[in-house]
Amino acid sequence: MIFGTILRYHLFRTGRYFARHSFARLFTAAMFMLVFFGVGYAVYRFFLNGFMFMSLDTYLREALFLYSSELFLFIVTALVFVSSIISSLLGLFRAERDQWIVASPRFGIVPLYVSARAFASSAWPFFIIALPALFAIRNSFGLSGAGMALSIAAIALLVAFAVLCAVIFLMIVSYALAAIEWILRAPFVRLGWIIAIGSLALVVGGAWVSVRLSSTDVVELFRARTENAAFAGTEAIREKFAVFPSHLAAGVLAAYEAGDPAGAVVPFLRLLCSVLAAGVLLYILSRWYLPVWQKLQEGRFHAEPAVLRDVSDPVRFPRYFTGQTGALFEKEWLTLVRTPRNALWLGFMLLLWMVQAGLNAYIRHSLVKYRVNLEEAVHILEALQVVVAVYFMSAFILRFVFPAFSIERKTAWIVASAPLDLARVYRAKFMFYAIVFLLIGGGVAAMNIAVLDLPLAEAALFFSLIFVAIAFLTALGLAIGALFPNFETDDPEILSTSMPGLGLTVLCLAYGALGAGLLYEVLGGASLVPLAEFLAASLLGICVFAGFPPRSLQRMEFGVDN
Amino acid sequence: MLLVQGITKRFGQKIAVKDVSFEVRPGEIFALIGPNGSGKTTMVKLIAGLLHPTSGDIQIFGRSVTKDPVATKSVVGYIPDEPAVWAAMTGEEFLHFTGALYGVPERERLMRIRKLLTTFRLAGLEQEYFEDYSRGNKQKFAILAALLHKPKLLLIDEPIVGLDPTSAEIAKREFSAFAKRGGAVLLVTHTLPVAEEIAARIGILKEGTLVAIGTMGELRRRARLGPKAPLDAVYRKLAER
Repeated sequence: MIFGTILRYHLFRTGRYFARHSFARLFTAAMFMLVFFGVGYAVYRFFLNGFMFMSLDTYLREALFLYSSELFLFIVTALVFVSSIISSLLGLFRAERDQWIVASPRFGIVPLYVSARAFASSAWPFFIIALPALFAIRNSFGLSGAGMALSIAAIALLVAFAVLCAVIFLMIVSYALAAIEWILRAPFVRLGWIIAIGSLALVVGGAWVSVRLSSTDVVELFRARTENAAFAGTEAIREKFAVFPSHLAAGVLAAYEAGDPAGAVVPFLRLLCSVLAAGVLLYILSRWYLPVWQKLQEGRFHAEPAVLRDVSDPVRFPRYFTGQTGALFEKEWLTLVRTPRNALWLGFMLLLWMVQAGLNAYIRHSLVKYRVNLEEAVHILEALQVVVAVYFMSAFILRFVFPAFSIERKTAWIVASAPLDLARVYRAKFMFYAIVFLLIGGGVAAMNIAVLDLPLAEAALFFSLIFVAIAFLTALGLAIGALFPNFETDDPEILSTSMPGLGLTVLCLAYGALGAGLLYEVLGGASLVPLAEFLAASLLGICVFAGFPPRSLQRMEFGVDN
Repeated sequence: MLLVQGITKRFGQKIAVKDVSFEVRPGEIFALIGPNGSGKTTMVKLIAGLLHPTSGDIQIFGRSVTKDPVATKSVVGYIPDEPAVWAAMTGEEFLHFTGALYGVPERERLMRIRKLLTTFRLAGLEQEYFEDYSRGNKQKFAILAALLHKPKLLLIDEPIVGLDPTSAEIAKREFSAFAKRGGAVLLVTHTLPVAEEIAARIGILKEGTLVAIGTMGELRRRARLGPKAPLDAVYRKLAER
């Protein structure tokens, strides 16, 4: 019943969204769907080409299909698990809007509600990646209608399982922390140490998984036990992935691909039972939810009286800079690093980027080993890295820079009532984010240069392009965000799916594709002039967007709806 | 000190404030009262520079809020009705942040913060994060931030809401002392006893229009009530007729 109420509430909100300013919002929704289906179609074409290529090789066909399915589903599971941890971490114990549910007699439903929300927010990779991939399999390997339906169900179950595992993991950790509250109170115990040990355990676990999955040479993986056979063997692959839950969903796909629909039943039922078992465990854990929730509201697990500090040692602020700009800089820094949702999101995206950059080492190693045309391959990798860098930067910019003014909906009174020009605030925001992103992007670019072992001139060109692209996209994101502020919500994830946000996404991706294309041409021996013009135009864009804030900024109104 | 001349503010088709004019003199506490949605908060936000008037002008020390916002804001202290602050900041960092925005030198800031924390009984709590403060303590930090740069005009939107009785007394005492030192105070409130107790003059807003303005005595006469009639009786007569 309570789920019905919540569902009605969300339906009502959606209805109200379209009821007000209906044309603009319908247009936004239409554009969203256009981008959504456009990206989905591009993913479909990408997978179709790959699967077609695989399906033509009779020796590797089955093994390659199994390996790519296993790896793909494992990555999807890991992504859903980590993103569910991030979204549920605050939703379980710190969501103010759910307090009315906690205050009701049905408080135990919150973990299930949080899981449902995490599942819904994980739906986009399903629609935008998994579904196009399944259609590509259907059209390349001839997957039947029943196979398609069962595969969709298996992937949905896998996503549900990953979400439930994330929520269960969080609840167990929270319950454990609440149970050892007396240990945390001990003067020699620091929460920071516990977090550090937990993080170390995660890194060790992650390293074990990556060694298990990527240290093996793919060629050896397929040849190991099957050099004289007509088909590459799949035992080594099955053995390698058997410990992961994604193996069950991959088993369903592989059974249909191998023309053995009966073989899909067992893994599917095992997956279904896993989800049911996780659901039962979540239900059992929910019975102790309220007392733990109450305890965790105290912040550091116990209340403590105010302690008078030595006034001879006051806090300095701003600590690192001076004046108005220094204060604005430090405020941006504090709100970035001290907001768990921001810090976790940034950390997660950075981890993905590092993993992606690290994979280049593995690819380069294979290229050298099998004497593939190294120079040409490295040029392709370099251009791809520009696209990847722009992709990650677009994600950072959409999450932090584009909504930088809109998210100040409630706190805008502090800066807006102070005696400073909003152009200064604008420039301070640009400087802050440009420096942070240049440090991050510069670090990953340097890592790429080292991994790909680029010659000095190529490295300089690659580095310049990444640097200019980051500064340009930061300036562009801030300008568009300031030009189209939206004070209806302060949720950056909702703000980034607004019409200007989608426009910015398209611009960023087009910019990245153009830059990467021009770099690839130059590396292939073409003239440097078009790339130089591209860089010069970008520098001019930085000066214009960062130096001249939109005039509407001076007329921006704060606190209209609060 | 504060001169509001024919201010009108529209939000689309809706008129929030309609041709409002009044003045607040140095050393005076002026209270603006009125029913919910009468335009009180909009009026304060217009003076604080958070909103732009559709027509009319607001002057502080002879300078226009719209034409010279930096100069006018430097002498104004603003306390909003919902003092939302970044959850990840401590109270002390927030005070230093606002002090730095108003150009208060660090040495002076440290002394003033220490004094204000003691006055408002917040000493010892300043290193907690804002998300951990109660509604009342958030309000008190907002009051401190508004007083930190020694403004000449205080704009206060619902000053007492969320404060415990002792803190409310301290706040009222500080606002009165501020006015006695020559500062001007514009107070927007639903708490009529507070307005009656500390305001020298009172304005009543109704549906965006200023329907009455004057001292308690003048308002009583206008409402045709006796010399001891309380403000709530005067208010009911003037605002609800």
